[in-house]
Amino acid sequence: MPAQEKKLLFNVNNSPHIRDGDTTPRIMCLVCLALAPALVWSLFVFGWHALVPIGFSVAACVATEWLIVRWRGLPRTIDDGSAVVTGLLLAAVCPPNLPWWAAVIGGVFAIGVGKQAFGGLGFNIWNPALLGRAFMQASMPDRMMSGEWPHLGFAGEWWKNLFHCLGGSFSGIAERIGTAPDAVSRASMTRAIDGGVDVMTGATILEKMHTPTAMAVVDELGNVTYHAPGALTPGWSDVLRGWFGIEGGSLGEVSAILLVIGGVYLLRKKVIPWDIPAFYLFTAAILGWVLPQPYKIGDAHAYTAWFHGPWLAHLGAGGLMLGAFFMATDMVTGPLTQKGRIIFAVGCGIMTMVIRLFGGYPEGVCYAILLMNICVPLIDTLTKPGVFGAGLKK
Amino acid sequence: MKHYFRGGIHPPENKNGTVDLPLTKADPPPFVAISFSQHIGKPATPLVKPGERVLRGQLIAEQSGYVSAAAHASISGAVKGVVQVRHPLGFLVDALKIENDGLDEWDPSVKIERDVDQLPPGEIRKIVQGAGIVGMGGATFPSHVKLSPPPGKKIDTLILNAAECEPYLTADDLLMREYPEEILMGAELFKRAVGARRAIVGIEDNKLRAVTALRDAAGRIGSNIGITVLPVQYPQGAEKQLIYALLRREVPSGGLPMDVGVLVHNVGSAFAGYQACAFGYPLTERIVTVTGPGIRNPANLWVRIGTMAGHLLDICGFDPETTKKLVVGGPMMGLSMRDLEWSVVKGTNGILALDDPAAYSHRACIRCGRCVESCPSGLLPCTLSNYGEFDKLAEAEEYNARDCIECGICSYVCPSKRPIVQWIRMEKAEINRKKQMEVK
Ligand code: SF4
Ligand code: SF4
Repeated sequence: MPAQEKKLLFNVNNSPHIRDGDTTPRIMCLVCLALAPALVWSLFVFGWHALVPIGFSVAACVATEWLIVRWRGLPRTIDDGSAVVTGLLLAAVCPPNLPWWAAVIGGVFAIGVGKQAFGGLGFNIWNPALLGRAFMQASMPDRMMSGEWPHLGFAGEWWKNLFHCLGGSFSGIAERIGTAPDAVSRASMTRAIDGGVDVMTGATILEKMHTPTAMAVVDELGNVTYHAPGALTPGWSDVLRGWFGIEGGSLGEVSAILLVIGGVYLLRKKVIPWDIPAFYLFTAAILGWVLPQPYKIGDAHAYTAWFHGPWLAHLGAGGLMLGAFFMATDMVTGPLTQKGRIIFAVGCGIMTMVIRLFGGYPEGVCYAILLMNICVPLIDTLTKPGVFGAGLKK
Repeated sequence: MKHYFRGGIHPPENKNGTVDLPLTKADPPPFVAISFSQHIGKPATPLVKPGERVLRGQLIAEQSGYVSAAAHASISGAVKGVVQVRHPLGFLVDALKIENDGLDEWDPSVKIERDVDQLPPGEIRKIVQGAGIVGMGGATFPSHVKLSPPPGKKIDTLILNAAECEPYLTADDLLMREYPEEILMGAELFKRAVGARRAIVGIEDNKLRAVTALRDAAGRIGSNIGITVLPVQYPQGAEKQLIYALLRREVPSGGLPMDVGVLVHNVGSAFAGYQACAFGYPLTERIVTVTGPGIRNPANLWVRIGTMAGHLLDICGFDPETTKKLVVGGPMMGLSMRDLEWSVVKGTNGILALDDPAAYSHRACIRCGRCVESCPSGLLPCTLSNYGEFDKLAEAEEYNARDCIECGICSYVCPSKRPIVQWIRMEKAEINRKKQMEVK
């Protein structure tokens, strides 16, 4: 029948009548995919038990999101995938030997307080995963600080050989634990053994670099001179261990290389902007190279020379790559404009290095990003784009 | 000079369905319904009575007031009376129904030959006004008003808008390829009418055949009109953006192009202007692109003003199953029509049969910043959308909601599928309403 004789009704709605194919769930899904290599690697180096924090954290986040949104009487939001991302990111900044209940507490806090208390997705001020981690750090420090040392549970001989080449020896670790049994590693050692899991812990490269004690050298005449500790000039094997993730630390932070690969994937898919990771890492590298490194001589503080910092070790160590590619790039808690993002990223880089070098903690990424998160409204106001034609005389 | 403007996007062009097809004439319809409100401004006043026989080109409704435009019969036949048709904005307006007698007899006032070379400016304006010409890119602002800038506003540059930056549409492209000389001569006339120093055609680089045609034509008629090729970017065809891209002049917020000495006309209007000045043709037909997934045989058609939408859809093979939405105009700024009770008006550049992705439910803003980056007006659409959703008018005004040109980019790029423009339109309407209340 010709169209003009038939009564036809069409949908009426506002322009535009075409939309870009990208959706929020797709963005979240790609973030999960990009994070996958680093998380799988953590299973490889730490063993299957690393699934415990991952699984429980994701489950807790999704369940909390679902419950609160339901309770607030809002349309369901778990299908946007943001709760899964928060869960994975939270697990990524927790130690692999975290007990299940701790992961649940962290997840509930991250979503309940970090996100929903502010009004849900899009309204939170702080990165929920990092806020969850900060909460856990404050409330159960010993559970959070005990970076587990990799024991290559699933690795074959080939990997163990590589591991040896990179300077990690099992006996060496055992020695370190045996000779310098600080409270933390002993506690985690015992706990791990209690739990029936063969876990060893040791200081990560960041912990070693954090205000170490000077080496005293006594010459033949009995004069004592102090040298900057060797930890401040890490060798290639230390640096590479950090980059390749044959290193203790948080679950998802172990391999800088895999995080970079995931980050580049997100860049290529245009999920994250290039400016945040670029400026964050560049600032951190420059400061890591330029700034003098503090160390201790007895109770007194001393500093190495300017322009001698181990910047490459700083880049590969700890949560910097995870922070630069996955945490600081969280859109909700970052600035809206490119100018703003650059300010934000440079701020993150400065705060990270200042905390790492001069703060109380060996790692500064988490607090640096949380601190910069609060500055976002201010940054947004300062970098508001100029309206086309505004301020011109008619 | 690098030609660019701030923000903007490049959505899939989807012009392939019609860009290579020849321009064809649509069969004249059995009847037309010529709306009295085809332009911005007051509706035209009808001059003919039911039963009367009218000829093609005959004035059937005269302009009422300065900002208004005349309407002419687009076929010859008997006046049936006044009927109601749907305005593109959705409400019903009066239209004159004329039954086609199939003779297509021209009114004697038309088809004259006039030497346009010596036509004085005042005469050009009068002819354009008499021919009922309006902005044919969709804005439908009466052209004679634009050609008569108030004293004190000096126009130095005439810009012919040939950007056709909306996806799907190829009507202007075809017009330029087929009638380049007429368009350029029309531009010369408009230029003379406002006393501009120069004229420039702004055209996107996805229409290189039209560029060649225009350049050849300029050589043939000895015209020094510049043809400037711009990189494809939506919304290049928005006046302020086009002026910026071509001349780097920024039209002040709330101002008009003439505030920076520029007049912008669509190529279709220039063509119609030449037809009126040289031959006395009033505006009775135009090119319409009929395309989209729901159209089996997409086409660019010469269509008589007043042709019912259903007639065109039947010509082009319309599939009601795949069509969820019928859009008049381009997909970015066009309006969706609820039924087929409407006829082609002077500003109808396209009819699109689309499916309806906009029927997605929206989610919360994740502050991804894409809308901010692409907004050509330099606004914060995400913030404005939140103000719209939560009814915060004062804040919306402070964040310059009124500078939004409603290009639709923010809604297009939003991964959360937020109907941002819709909220901003609402805010603008509310702010204007408040302003008017204050004035009273
Ligand atoms: S519709 Fe308005 S707010 Fe949205 S991008 Fe266009 S000008 Fe900016
Ligand atoms: S594009 Fe959508 S989600 Fe992104 S900032 Fe704008 S409104 Fe928010």
